Amino acid sequence: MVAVAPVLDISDLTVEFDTPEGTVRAVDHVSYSVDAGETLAVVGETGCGKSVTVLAALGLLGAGRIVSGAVTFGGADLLDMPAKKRRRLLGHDLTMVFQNPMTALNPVMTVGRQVAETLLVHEPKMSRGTARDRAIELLAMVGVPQPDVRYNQYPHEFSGGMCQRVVIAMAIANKPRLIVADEPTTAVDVTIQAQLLDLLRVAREETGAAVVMITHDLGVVAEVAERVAVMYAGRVVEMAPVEQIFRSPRHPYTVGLLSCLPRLDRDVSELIPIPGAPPDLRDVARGCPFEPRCEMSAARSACQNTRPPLMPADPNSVSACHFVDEVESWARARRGNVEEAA
Amino acid sequence: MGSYVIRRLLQFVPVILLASVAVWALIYAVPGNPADALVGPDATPQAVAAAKVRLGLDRPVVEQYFIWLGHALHLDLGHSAISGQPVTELMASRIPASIQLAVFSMVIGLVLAFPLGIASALKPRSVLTKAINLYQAVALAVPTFWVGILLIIGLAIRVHLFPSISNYVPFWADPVGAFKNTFMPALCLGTFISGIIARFVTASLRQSMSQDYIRTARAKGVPEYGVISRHALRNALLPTVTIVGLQVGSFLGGTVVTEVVFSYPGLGRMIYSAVTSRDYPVIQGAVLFIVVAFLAINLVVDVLYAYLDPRVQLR
Repeated sequence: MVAVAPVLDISDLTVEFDTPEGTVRAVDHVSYSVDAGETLAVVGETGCGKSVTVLAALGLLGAGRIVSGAVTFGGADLLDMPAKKRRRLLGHDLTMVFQNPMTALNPVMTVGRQVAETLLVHEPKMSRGTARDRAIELLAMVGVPQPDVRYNQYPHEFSGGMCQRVVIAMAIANKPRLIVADEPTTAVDVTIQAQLLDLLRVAREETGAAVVMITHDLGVVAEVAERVAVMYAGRVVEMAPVEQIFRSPRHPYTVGLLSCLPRLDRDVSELIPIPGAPPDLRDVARGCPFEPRCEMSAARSACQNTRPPLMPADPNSVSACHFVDEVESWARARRGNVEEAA
Repeated sequence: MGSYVIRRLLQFVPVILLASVAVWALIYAVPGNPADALVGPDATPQAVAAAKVRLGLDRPVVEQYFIWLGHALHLDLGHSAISGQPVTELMASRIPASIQLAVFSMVIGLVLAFPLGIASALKPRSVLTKAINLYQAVALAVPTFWVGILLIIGLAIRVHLFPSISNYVPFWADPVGAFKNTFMPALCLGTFISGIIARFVTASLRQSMSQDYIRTARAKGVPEYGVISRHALRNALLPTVTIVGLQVGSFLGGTVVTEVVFSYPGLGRMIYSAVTSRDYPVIQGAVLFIVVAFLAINLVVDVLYAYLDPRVQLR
């Protein structure tokens, strides 16, 4: 790996929310970075903190507070930056695609104006006519048919997939260096998902932007990512190149996630769900947060009492498991049992 | 849009007809003979008998209604039992006064409500918001007649800024005079409704500020001012328009207490004196006007709604 400065570098980020029932640590010392032109997928179950991490890093978190950590974008500190300076980056160098395209667009503004606004905000001298022409070009680029007609329509006249194309158009309008896509395909039809992923890939190739793809869908990960960070209960539990994640995962949670994924070459009856539910983040045990659900741990005292740090598992990957060396053989044995049973 | 308005106007017909039945029946709710009520308390038996024939009160009830309706459609709502003046003529002189007061009050109400509502929506936990909440509570709780009396004592009697009796001066004839005469009653009503409207602005703005598209706008790098004015406020206007419309409607129907306190010659004071002197024809006319005014305001609100919210289709 060549040592280039990462575009986005999140280190040791911790975010807490105060609720009537106590403090929730939604993000617990999370670190990851993404290099120029690279796509990093952040995967995990709902509520594992994958979206909160990135929203906090970008200063877009409404509630909640950042307890510790640092976030740099192109070497500049994003967290300490004055709001005005950060605004100049947001929507220009650093853009987002959101989960629910139908609600991400303002219902009382034409989609065209919303795209044009992205241009005008960062280039106030641009004439309205130029912004309009550029916006129509962008709509055409993301595959909105009849862009000059569609420019004047409102979001409710668009399908979910079309709305997401518009959101993507806004995200690529100013040739960003980083696109953060927060579950961009979750709320749209399966038939549209592949098109949107293709679109994001083309956008990335054209702009050379790095991409952080937040998803719970391992199919999406396999499709787009080069590197994967797996999150569980507010922490990164494993990070590795994508082939390695799928071939030889180094954390029992990742193993569990993968065996929930249907594959064409295996029978559906071979899917193994992860038992239990994610922990309540108000009250996480002292030990490994995954221990109560971990089939490999077998209630060993290290798992119950000591929180495993994120350690190099091999030259390319890191894993937060006390018994990382056992994972591979355990996973193989587990798979063997299931196939036998089937 | 045009055809929508026409269809809506046609829908008004049954509503107005229904209201007219109720209004017409009002006269039968009077103790004694309607003719007594229509001619007035001091009429001679001969005059009452003559009125009975003239008004068709000797005919069958259904026929009586249609005779009355026929007159009403020709804008003949009878004569005031007290002054003998035609009711429509009486109302024609009062309606512009009430409209002017309604407009002044609404302007004051909106000018007060919007900044207060926006401020407390954006800084929900600040001291300013607490002060605004207190203002809203006081504005709603304090009776307008009391505020009116305080205003008269303070601004008309102690310092002679405004006349203590507010006359109707048409705005287009004499803007300064109109302002002087209308300001105090309008302030009275304006502060009252500003409390209600500010609450609506706060609630709906807070709600729209928590929507996904606000986060999208921020993620685009839109400055906070633009986020509020271009994205949040326009969406927050929708529920506010409804409440403002309802208030305008009630203002047009006359604001009895305020008009009486300031001796303002609007519909409200006309209704007040008609009720106290049992001037039924005038009450009938006023009620009919209020029904029509409310229907008209509702139509305006619906059209405005469609203009503000592209998702609303006028069909």
